[in-house]
Amino acid sequence: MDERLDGNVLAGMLGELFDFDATTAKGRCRHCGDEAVLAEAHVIAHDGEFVARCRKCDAELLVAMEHHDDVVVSFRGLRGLGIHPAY
Amino acid sequence: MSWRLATVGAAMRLTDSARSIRLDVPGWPGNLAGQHLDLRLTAEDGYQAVRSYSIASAGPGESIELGVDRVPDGEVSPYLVDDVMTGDQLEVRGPLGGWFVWHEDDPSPVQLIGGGSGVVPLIAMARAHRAAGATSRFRMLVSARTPEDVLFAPELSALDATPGDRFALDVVYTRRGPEDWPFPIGRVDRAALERTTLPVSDSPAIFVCGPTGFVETVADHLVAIGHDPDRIKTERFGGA
Ligand SMILES: Cc1cc2nc3c(=O)[nH]c(=O)nc-3n(C[C@H](O)[C@H](O)[C@H](O)COP(=O)(O)OP(=O)(O)OC[C@H]3O[C@@H](n4cnc5c(N)ncnc54)[C@H](O)[C@@H]3O)c2cc1C
Ligand SMILES: [Zn+2]
Repeated sequence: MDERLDGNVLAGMLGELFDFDATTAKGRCRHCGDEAVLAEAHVIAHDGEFVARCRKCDAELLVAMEHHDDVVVSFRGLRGLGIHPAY
Repeated sequence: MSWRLATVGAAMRLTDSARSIRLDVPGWPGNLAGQHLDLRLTAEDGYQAVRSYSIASAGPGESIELGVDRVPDGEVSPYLVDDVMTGDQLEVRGPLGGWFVWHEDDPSPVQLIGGGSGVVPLIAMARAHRAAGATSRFRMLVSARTPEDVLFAPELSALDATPGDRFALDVVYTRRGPEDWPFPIGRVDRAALERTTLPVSDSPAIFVCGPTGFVETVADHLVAIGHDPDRIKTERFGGA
């Protein structure tokens, strides 16, 4: 079953890759240019695979997978990911 | 970030379908109000299941509290609600998430809106607000099926009954209310939000949490009412 979630659920997986909280980083959608923190992305979870989609245009932003201690993330739909401390 | 071994310190029934679980987690660095953790169960054959759970407690210390509601036929939640016992061990990873978080130095009025187990991160915020002696105004709306389905009901009522206007609680019942309940029974709609939540003119920081459908409906109504979308933070738990 597909579970509809949001970017908050990615914090643990991304935390395995980065030593900061990537869900508060701002990403820019490659498709429509919308800028939002990753926590605000729409996420579809299916069998341990998480697809994050743009909240505005639904384009795919990233895919994250976790199996046991392996975590793989592809950021292909993001034009950038940045930290803005004031945000 | 890495998995830590947690030991169940206590488990206490909250409602017919929900339980509070206290975990002792050596090395836990403390957490902010609203953060969650990932919980991992490993079966004897090596199969693993990972789920996210919000943390009902906030602040320093290696003992934390979860509030878990049973999803019938779920893989993980029935085990946590019905089976897990004091002394059992499981793995957790966290604290996680820096976005759906209330910071005690934020002077804004705050509107919390939780459906079902969506109350869990919100009670962490209410507890942190009280513990900090913060003077900002907190208002909380809970959507629950019946009066017996409100997680942390006694504690929320006690906060609500505290003199002063720092914390106020409203409940919308979707199936059955208390006897002589004067308000409509049913899902949180625009009218219920206008009746029970802080007005746009207060420009509150708003936190909405619970089942995905609930969160999206409520967030849409809030924007329609006139709240700035940038002031609305949401956390979707999944499900209907
Ligand atoms: C960031 C975050 C924080 C969360 N915090 C909490 C919390 O504090 N307390 C809590 O009880 N839950 C919380 N959840 C939900 C939790 O992670 C699980 O999804 C839930 O416990 C169901 O897991 P399961 O293994 O029992 O069900 P599964 O085996 O995963 O699912 C079984 C069936 O139930 C449906 N389902 C899955 N999740 C839900 C849901 N949340 N509501 C209704 N139906 C669902 C599925 O679509 C599926 O059909 C949180 C989720 C997220 C993303
Ligand atoms: Zn987009």
